[in-house]
Amino acid sequence: MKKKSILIIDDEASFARMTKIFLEGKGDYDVSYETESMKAVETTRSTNPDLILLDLVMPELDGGDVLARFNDDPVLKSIPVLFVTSMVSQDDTSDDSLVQSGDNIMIPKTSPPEFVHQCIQDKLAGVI
Amino acid sequence: MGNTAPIFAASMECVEGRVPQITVICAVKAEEDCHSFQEQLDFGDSLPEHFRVIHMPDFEMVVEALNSETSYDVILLDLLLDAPEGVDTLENLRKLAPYLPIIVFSEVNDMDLAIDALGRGADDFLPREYIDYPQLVARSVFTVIERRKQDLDKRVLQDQLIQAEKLDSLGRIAAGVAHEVKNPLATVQMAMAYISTLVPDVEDPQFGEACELATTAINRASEIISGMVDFSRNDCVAIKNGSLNDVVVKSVDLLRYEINKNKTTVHLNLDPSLPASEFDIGKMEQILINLIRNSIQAMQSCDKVIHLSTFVVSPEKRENSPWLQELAVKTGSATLIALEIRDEGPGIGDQKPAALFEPFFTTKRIGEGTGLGLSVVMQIVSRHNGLIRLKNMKNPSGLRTRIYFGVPPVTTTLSPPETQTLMKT
Repeated sequence: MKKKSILIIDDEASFARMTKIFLEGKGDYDVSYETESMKAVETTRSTNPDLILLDLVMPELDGGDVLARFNDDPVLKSIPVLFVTSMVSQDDTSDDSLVQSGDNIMIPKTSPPEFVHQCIQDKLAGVI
Repeated sequence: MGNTAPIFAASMECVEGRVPQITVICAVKAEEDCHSFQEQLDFGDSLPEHFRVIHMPDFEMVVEALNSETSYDVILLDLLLDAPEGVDTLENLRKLAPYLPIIVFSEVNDMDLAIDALGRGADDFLPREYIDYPQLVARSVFTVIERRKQDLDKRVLQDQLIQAEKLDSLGRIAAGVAHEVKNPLATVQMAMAYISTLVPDVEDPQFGEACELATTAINRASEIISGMVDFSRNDCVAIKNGSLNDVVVKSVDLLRYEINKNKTTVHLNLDPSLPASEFDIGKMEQILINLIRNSIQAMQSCDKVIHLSTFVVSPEKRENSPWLQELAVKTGSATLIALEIRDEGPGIGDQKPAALFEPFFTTKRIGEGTGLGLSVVMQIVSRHNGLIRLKNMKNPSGLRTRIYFGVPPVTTTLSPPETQTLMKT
């Protein structure tokens, strides 16, 4: 089965790199990351990922701005995005459900990594 | 004697429907002096206050009285009570009762003595030659009580301001720190999840245990950070109509795993006639979860019981408690309801209750608590204009925590948290 490609956009390089290692360890993904949000659109175009993990609080362009730019682009707007952010905590989510802001889903950054993985699988399967 | 009420009307608070009683320790040698004080204070049937004068002819009696549970409003101290020490007696008394008004009564009208007594902690100085002067004793009593009350109000207000400022600063710092710490924490969590997958491939038998320990430690750090975020967010409450009983049941359900794991029994005694009330349901659950968790951890050993109850405060109980009366007035509530959690743990010993509600105060062993639980409880209760009382219980020993609310409670979002922490041990 062809591996799914995931792009992480997060200014915290060590988190992005570690998430890449963790997800690639699962064997089903090719993961790349971009730590400069100003380059997010450009990198997304060149990597054409199946899913984007997007940080919310970043210098220069924040996650909301990056998403707005994706939505302005006829190709990029169709790529599924999951926000992974430290702005929400697990206590904001009840019964393991996710925090939803409009159409956007927010995963707390300090969620158990397996939970993050489950969310990725569900998003790729179109369940969430 | 004419109508003297106007002189004093402004000095004392009068709760409607009750005759306030002022209890006076009359620390004078001669019984006839005590009688004349009583007469002086009884002069005004027109006064709304009733004086209870208790004769204590020696210093030991006074000490015993001050160490008892009875509360007194003022001491009338004869400088000859413990002759020849005189003003030394006053100093000793002041140490025993730092905030109780003391009026010194002296055989001689001596200015130097008066200044000395006032300098050593007396609130007023009454020479014998003046005590028959109409209204003078009563006026002195009212004045010193009122002055002390104002001092106390000022001190309480200052404490509240300091506390509010500390909590506010901590909240702001916590929010910032939490965000910054979450990133590296998430990285380590991710790393541990990855490393743990390698356990079967590593020959070192301790590798798996090391991974587990590191993961537990990281999860704990994450818990502390979440606690700090909760603490910093408690500045606003989302009020809805709900049943306190439902919140209790749901909170117990949420903690079912911990309760069973510790073989703790939870007895519910929920008053079915409890009226619906208005509160922030999520925050109220948080109060219960924090308190139940504290009780489970405090009890340590298994097979112990936590009693959870709710009830409507009876009019008699309310009538007998100045705190509850004040709560009713403050919240404008005709009905007061209470939530009670009683455990079989060691209680809180001699801890000052205010300290228990300080952020990061904990008596738990390292690894068992963040020290933020009770301060979050306090903050939420304050936002609901409620009142917390803690009491060490005997037979069986344990801690009883009661939280009182008005129905409906008047909630605040902007006022600084109030520290109405009271304890009776």
